[in-house]
Amino acid sequence: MTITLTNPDREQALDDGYAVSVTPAEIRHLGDAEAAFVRGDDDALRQAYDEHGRLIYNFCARALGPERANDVTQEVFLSAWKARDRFDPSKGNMAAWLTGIAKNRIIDAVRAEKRHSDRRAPESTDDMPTESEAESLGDKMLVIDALQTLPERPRKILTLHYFEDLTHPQIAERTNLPLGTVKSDIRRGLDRIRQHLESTMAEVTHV
Amino acid sequence: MSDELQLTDDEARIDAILRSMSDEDLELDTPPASVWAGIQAAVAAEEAEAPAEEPAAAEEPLAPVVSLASRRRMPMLLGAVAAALVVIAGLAVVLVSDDPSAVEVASADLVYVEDDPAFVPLGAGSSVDVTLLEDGETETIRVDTAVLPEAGDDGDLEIWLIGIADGEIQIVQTLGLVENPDDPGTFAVPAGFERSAYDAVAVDISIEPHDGDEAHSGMSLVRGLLTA
Repeated sequence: MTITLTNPDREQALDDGYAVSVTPAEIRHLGDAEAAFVRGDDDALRQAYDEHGRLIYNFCARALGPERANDVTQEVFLSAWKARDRFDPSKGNMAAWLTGIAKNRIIDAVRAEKRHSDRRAPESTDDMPTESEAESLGDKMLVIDALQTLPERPRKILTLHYFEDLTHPQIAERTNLPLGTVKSDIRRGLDRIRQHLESTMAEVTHV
Repeated sequence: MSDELQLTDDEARIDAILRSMSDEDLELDTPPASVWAGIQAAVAAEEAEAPAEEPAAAEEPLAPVVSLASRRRMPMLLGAVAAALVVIAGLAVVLVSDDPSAVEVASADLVYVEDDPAFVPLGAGSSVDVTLLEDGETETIRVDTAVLPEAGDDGDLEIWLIGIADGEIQIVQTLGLVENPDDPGTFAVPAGFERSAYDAVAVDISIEPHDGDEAHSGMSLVRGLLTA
């Protein structure tokens, strides 16, 4: 469900062996799961939660703390389920859609908390995120989610580059891959992650 | 921007996000089982309230399924009512358990399901067999064999009936606390619980923390469907 189905360079990626971890049958299955959600099929909500519950819960926990995350995660899935006919799989993936809903819920929760605390202790909401911080955190969570969906080789190369601070030649040496492959995997990995973040349904995420 | 690649603006944006992260950011926590239980309960409550509902959900439920958020606001009075019901259920057990005219109508093997967020790991290795007995208008759940953990000082084991229709949980009804995990005994099914109103009925044993919340904790040890 986290694969962008309309990737224009998918054929090229397949030629490179980049996307071999996702078979056409799996893609059909993923698409089916999203369609089942929109139809309101039995188990479709459970599938969506199994697939994305971790992402949404951790987003809420990092923004609001683990105590509030429980309730807000529930609200996100309940809202999404009630508004499922507004989810259009052709316009973006479910992870981005749910993350958009979660971002709005988090911002609502922060505003409500601030309204209450203004009358008590104004400093008590200092560690709560601003709207733009919630937005950035949502993007970061989708990047983490997208990383998990990358095939093993590019995921490893991106990890070495960004989290172990290795240069491209160092990665090539460490992995015994040609330098050109390292560079193309990094670029393509960045493109994949960007696609994962894209959702043209931003206007309907406030449900 | 990566020093070693000419990136487009879009790629540079992702590059910047990745550079702002550490490998600790990649570690995601598993949500507690109560999150899914709350979603399930809230959806069931939502659909039960919807007009033109199926007959099963339209009937007045014994213990309406409510969201975790709203049930925390339930008045304490409900806790007292629930406690009284447990006492009544306990009395009923004594009245029906030795009745020779009871007929066995269904049974269930209750098991722990790994990797299902409805279950807590404490249930691993547990198993329970139950039989549903019918005697005229009275129904009883008899526990035939039980391998269950001790609840410890902070909680109790509790046995429930779960009514399922249209693939959703419609009702979660307590039968009472399991006082002795090695020999739980028998539990009266409350008179208002209509098994025929549901597509399926499951028996569930959960761990219930001493938190003043009388609703199901969302932390099941074992579950099984009653079959004839």
